[in-house]
Amino acid sequence: MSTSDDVELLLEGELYRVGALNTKNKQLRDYMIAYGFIPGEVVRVVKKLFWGRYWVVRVHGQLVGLRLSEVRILKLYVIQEH
Amino acid sequence: MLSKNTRLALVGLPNVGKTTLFNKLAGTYYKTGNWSGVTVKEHIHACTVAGQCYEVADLPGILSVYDDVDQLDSQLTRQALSSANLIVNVVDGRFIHRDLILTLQLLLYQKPQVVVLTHVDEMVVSMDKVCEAMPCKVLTLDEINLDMLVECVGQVGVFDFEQIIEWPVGFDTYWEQLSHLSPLDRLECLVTQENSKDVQIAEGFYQTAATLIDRSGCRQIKEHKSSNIDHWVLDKLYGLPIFLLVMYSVFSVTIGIGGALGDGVMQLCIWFLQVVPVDTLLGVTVYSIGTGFATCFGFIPILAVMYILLGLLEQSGYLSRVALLADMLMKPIGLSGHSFIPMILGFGCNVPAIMATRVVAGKQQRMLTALMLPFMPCTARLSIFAVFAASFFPQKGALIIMMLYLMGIMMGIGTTWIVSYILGKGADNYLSISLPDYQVPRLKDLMFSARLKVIGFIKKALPYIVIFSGVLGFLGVVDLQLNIVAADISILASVGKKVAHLFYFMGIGEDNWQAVVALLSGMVAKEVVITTLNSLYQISGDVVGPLTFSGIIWDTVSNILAFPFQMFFIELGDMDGYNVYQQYFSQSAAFSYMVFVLLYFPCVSTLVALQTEFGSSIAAFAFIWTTALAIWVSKISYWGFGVIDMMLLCMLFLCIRYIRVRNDTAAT
Repeated sequence: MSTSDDVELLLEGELYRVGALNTKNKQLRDYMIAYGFIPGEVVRVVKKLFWGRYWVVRVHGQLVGLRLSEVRILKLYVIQEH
Repeated sequence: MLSKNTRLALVGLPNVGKTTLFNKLAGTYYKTGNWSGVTVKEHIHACTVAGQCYEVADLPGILSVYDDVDQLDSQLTRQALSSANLIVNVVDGRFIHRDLILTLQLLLYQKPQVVVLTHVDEMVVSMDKVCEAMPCKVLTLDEINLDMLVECVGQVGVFDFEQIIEWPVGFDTYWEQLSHLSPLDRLECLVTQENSKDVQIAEGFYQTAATLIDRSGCRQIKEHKSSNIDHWVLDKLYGLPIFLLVMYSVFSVTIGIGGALGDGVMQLCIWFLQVVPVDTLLGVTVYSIGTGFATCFGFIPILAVMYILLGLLEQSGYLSRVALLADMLMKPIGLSGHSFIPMILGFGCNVPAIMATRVVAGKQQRMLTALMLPFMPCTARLSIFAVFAASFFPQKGALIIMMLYLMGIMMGIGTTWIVSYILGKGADNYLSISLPDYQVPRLKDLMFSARLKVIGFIKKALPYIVIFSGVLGFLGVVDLQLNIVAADISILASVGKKVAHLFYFMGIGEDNWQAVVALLSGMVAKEVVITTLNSLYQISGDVVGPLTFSGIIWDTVSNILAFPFQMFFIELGDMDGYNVYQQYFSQSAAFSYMVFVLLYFPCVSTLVALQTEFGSSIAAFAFIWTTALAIWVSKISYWGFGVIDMMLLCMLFLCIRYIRVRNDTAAT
């Protein structure tokens, strides 16, 4: 498992796994959990907007728009092939 | 034994079709849309079946039953759920796995629950598999009716969540420690304690849902077609221009087609009014009321077109994309893209837009969003702009109106920036916005929704219009002894002329006292402004030339047919009915008047909505600030930006800075 801190290296169209919910902001954690961003969940990066400041990702079949700061707290990492 | 009123609560994730189900059950037509947060308050339908009273409640969507998201609509839903006798869980058939998680959470209420599936025709798994996955009885939107739900109240039992939910290893210990509490209180306690167990709890629900989904074999998710459209509308280069083009098209079509039709309707009404003699007091009063009706009916096509186009945006799923695009604009003022949706709704009417702020998380963010809304030009103000744009800017009317809308948005954002600067940084805001799949809007729904809104407008505006038109018509032809006199020495003219010099800053003098009276009447409702102007200017066949039925129809049809060619050359049809305005305003005074109308005093309904949602001080601030800003900006629009304005600007900055420093000092 290779965790990538630098989310800007993550690519559009690829699948990644949520590594953590790295924020102490309770409301934001709740929001993220409610959308399905829990550690271990698989998300697909659909699109990056405005030079990577905003991301559209697909989780549980639904599209969610996120700020880059919100993507960072998910600690996305590359899914390893076995 | 059932309680006196048995409550059936419709609950589900946002944008799954709860209000569509409610409308079907109750035979009502509450607003639906393809974005999260359409319903922000509880709708109740009361009925009696076999002597038993039932209440069906349509609740705002929630994401989960235990989170701490500071949204008024979510709190309202949770309160309502605790008093429900039957939970009707609405599930989107396209996202069974996602919605099953909430279904499992709802079991913790320990109340009978049924699932109603929506979007069944778009499901990729069979109904049998879905029924197997769901822990409770499943019905579909197509088959369901009120009688079936009522039957469920007695038949459906409470499911034992302990048998269904599989908590992560080690979590059972924490769960058992709180066995003296109810399941929901246990969850709340574990989530809010210092070492929050929120992720373990979420994992419990997610893993259970995944197990149920895999066991029943309904993991497939429908492939989406949104990506091609999103490729363009969310593009870093094309996204914003496409949004501006969409909004320009909305205004252009509204003014072009709606305006041409409206002008035709108004002239037809005036054509009928030609039979009324205007040489008696009664005749003048009847004629004035008739002119009021004519103006009101003239608005209808403009409003109908605007409502249909806004409905098109709401139902298509584009609004959420706009919120994402607008986040960059809102973030520097302490808000998120979520606040942009109420702004766009404010283009229809400010009152529902203020209610829509309930979906914005955080008290300060909600208040800041609401303070922007009085600056959003509603359809009532649009009708004023349409008339002035057609009269004074026929070559670039749509562009002028678009500019006014952008000015309104910028003024709203500026106000929010000032207030947020004074108040300091509020709670952190976040975007995390759900982007629903695009859908083709249903024409029937659009037409029905527009019809209801237009009827609502007429019901609201017509009484004011009739009263104002009658009173103004009467006061406009009598003196203090109630003798019929020439209009320029009537009671209204005398009062109007005395007040008019106060409006010299925007190029209005005693000779145009009618415009001042119209502004004052518009404080009650903006719809009245044009009616008042028309009554006082006495737009009639004499002014606009002899009217013939065939001439009116020909003009209207030719204006509509010419529109597609004029749309991007920004030329409006010839609206003869309003040419009389040119006798009273210069072009710059007309523009200044439009700016004043855009910014001044929110109507009474908006102020009441602000007062109800945020308190008297916010309503008073909105009243004073908008009017002060209207005076200043319309003065600049007419006279230009001078030294005094520069000094005022500096004073404003100094005041803001002083208050901020004082607040900071007090805080430390």
